[in-house]
Amino acid sequence: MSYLSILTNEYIEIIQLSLYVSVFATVLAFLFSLLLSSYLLLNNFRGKGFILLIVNSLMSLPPVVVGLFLYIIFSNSGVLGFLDILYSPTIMIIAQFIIITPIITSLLYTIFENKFHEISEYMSSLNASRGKIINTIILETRFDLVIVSMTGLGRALSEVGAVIIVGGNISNISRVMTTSIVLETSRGELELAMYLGLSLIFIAIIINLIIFLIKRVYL
Amino acid sequence: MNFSFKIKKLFYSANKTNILEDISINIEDSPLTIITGNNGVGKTTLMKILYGLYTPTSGRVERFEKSDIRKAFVFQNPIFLNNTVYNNLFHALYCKSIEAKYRSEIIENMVSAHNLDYLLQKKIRALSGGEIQLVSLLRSLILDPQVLYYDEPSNNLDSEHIEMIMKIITNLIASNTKIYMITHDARIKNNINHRNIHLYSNSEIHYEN
Repeated sequence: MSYLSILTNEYIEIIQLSLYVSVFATVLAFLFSLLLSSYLLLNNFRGKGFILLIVNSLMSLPPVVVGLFLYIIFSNSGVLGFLDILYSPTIMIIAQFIIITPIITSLLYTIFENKFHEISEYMSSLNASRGKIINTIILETRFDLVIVSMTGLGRALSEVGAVIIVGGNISNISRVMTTSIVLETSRGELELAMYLGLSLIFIAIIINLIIFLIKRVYL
Repeated sequence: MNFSFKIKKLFYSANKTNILEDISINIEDSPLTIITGNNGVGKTTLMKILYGLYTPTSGRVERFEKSDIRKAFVFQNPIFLNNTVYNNLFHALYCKSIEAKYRSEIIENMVSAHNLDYLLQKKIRALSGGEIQLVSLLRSLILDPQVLYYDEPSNNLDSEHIEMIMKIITNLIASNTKIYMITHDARIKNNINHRNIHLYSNSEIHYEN
């Protein structure tokens, strides 16, 4: 089978769904992490250290465990089974959101905290409001934020453990590149698996190329 | 006699190190007050306490100024945004909630008045040490302060730029801006009338003539 014939069949859809699920999850995770990191940065309260400890610990959350928990919650007998989203792109987005949010939050908080220490005295001398402080920090770290979001996207795209459990790897519905590679490999279709693998690597190279160019041009 | 500050039994420590110990002084109202003292005696810390950036560990600082007074601080090692000079000046006005429509005009008038237009579109990282000091001063002046706190104005400046700074300081004093300054620069001290507070390493502090 030639590479061109692969491009004309369902594998285009697989790549599209992979990108849709991962980009959507990354955007949601990034926005949530931005709010959470900003809140944690600007507010000192009891339990803040504990929250940061949990967030950092969740960075190494095993994806299959996330998949298992979501499966239990969203299966027919689960507490949220009535939503009927198991084996759909929606639950795959939720799974990836849960996996990458701690990573993005932890990275953002570290970046924000460093910048805050750098500029806080100057901002205090201007008597700047908290909103202006966080706006300034976001503006100053904007290229780092792009790199963090790309890191999140890369993590989401390469994830397989959770999406295969909650998505079910159903053709035309929930089959993404990583789950498809697992399937084709188990069926002995190594050529197809390899093409998908190469596509995934190609996307990873594009993401890293964007990061490289941003660093080179702006940092 | 009018006072700007009355300081009583002021202590300040950071990272378990005592920086200021048992400082008591009444600082008289003066157009220019220069704080001197050897390195490490706590001059910058004292000035940041006077400005309100640092809170004393103990003791009392009584301020004789209106709560809404416009004041600005020129740091010895200024922090800038990683951007152009224009955007840094713009940002200072943004932080002070100056209406957006006036910001460009204020910036252009300020740099033109000091013939520093050529700096406006330069990136901060492309500036020399002297230019950074000048931009740092401009960034404070643009806020039209009634009181200016100025930490080591002659750092990294050549004689031409020191002349310029002295001229700016003289003009500020003439327009009733009060200045607190840390400097050892004889050209400034010898040419501009001022009150001199000297801080000693044992935290003794008093006026010197």
